Amino acid sequence: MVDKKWGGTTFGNSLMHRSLVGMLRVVDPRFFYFFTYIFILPPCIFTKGFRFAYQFFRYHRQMSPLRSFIMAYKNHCIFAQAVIDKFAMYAGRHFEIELDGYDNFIELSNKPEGFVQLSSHIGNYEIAGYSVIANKKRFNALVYSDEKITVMNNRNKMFDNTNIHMIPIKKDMSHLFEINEALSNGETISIPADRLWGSSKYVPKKFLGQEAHFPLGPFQIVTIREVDALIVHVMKESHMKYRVYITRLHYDKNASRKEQIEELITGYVNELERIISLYPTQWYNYFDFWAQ
Amino acid sequence: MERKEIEEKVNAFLIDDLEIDEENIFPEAKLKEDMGIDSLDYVDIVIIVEKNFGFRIVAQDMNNIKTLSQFYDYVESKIG
Repeated sequence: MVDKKWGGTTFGNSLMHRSLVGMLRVVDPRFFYFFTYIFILPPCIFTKGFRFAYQFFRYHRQMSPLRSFIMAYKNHCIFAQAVIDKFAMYAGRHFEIELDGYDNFIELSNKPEGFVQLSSHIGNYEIAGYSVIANKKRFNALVYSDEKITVMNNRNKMFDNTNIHMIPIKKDMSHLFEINEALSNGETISIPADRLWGSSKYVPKKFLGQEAHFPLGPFQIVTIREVDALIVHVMKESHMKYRVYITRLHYDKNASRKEQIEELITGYVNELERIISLYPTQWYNYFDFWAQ
Repeated sequence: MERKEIEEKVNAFLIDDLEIDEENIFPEAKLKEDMGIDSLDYVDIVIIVEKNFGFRIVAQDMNNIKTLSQFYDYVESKIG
């Protein structure tokens, strides 16, 4: 796979992040949204990310060249707003959250066994993905260990004294052992399932009309531990409002490992396509997702 | 459990569960380079070892195990 390794890190340095959090404590985030519309286009238009966004709309959403350009611009504006929202959350701001499929989550959280929550790099998982937690089950989120220190510190501060634990991805792969331990203890694990993290093994699957490679890891963890799985996507509905989609991922626990993984990936990709069709401007994989 | 039995059990799950070619299974085989075991396979190994031998592998222990022979030694040391 080319360039699909998870390199998630927020733009800017610690001072910029701290300043933004400070400002967002006193200034409404919508004030900053206004600037995203003006300042996004000039610096972003020549970036690789903009090109990949354009190609996404042009070739995977079958839009005209002009419409693809406009959608790529909108996509970048909404992404910038999603980042602002993340820092607004660190600053203590609250968003209106609507839950779709919350009963799926309740059903699994009432069982003693652990389960996996799969997510994707669409929408803004951090806004509410960590809110969909059960008090009786510890919630573990796999995070990128090279994320900027201010983001990590803000996350840790927010989740201090809560039931939420961050598992950073490490070179020594100890995070895989932590994941296994958490699931065997009946806890919840949140894992993004659209990018590689640690292993290069993948499963090819047709996605939006073309074969893409999805990481084997998240799905294999579900089958190895024979646990249940949910897909959780947090999508921006409007300024200060998000909707959380929680979908149960079914698979036959008596089938072979290969068949189980195929069932899981099919379910995940179908749901991802459904959400993308509803929110096409909230696709944030700024690289050639379909590279072989 | 005798050493021979440990080796047979380990080899069995490497072939059946991890689908490693039998020809790549020999004591001096390097786990990553010769057998193609990667980080994701370790999760499988942890669970299979727990089921077969009754103890849980910890991440730090795996850092020092490079060959299959070392893995046999490790299992043997854990189950006494």
